Amino acid sequence: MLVLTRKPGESLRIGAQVVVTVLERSSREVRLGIEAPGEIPIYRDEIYRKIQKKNLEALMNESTQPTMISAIIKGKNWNVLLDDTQR
Amino acid sequence: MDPFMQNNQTNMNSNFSVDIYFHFGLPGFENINDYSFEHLDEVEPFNILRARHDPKISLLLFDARLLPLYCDIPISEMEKKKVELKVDETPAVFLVLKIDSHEKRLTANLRAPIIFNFDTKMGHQLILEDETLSMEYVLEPETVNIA
Repeated sequence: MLVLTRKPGESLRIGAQVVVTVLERSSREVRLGIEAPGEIPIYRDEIYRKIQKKNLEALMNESTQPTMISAIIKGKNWNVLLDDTQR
Repeated sequence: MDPFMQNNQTNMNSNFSVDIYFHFGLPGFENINDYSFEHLDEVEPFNILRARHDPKISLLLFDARLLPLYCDIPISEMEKKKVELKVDETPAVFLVLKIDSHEKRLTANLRAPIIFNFDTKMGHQLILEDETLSMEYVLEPETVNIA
């Protein structure tokens, strides 16, 4: 990890197009301004990591794919998917 | 053009598959850019997003238009640009579903919808700022609008 020290009002440049500026600092937090092309997504890291985790949890696996698809093919209510006794 | 409309005009069997490119991949699958969006009559109202070069990677999707509470989610111009949509164009919005076999339910991630531009064949998963949006919204047939 590259560690740099910046004061409020000072900036970092990442590549040619991304600039991160320290806007203000308090004892509990630092306010950052980010200039970047609109097509570059910018996320709070902890939220991004949560979404990563949720996507990985949502992966269909061999046990859910055939169960889900056959339940729906039979035109039943979604609840059939969730109740093994009705399969 | 929305492939749902296009296919309904030409085929009685409206199964279709569209190749979709995710420039930034998906969170958790950042190195996978090429997917197939699959619409199968038999699994309606669900759709499948499947990695083209690794079919084991597949996600169940749900059309957000069918969820009344989700109709007014704003999609910013910047977010539309990521799939090369114009300002006045509307993306197709889908939610990632999780099959929770332990709790025996389907849940939708309202916080991170996937938008598609089926004309440019591009997709992007958004992460919305609204912290009140659940990442595990329980989906029940009764709460969904299916004509």
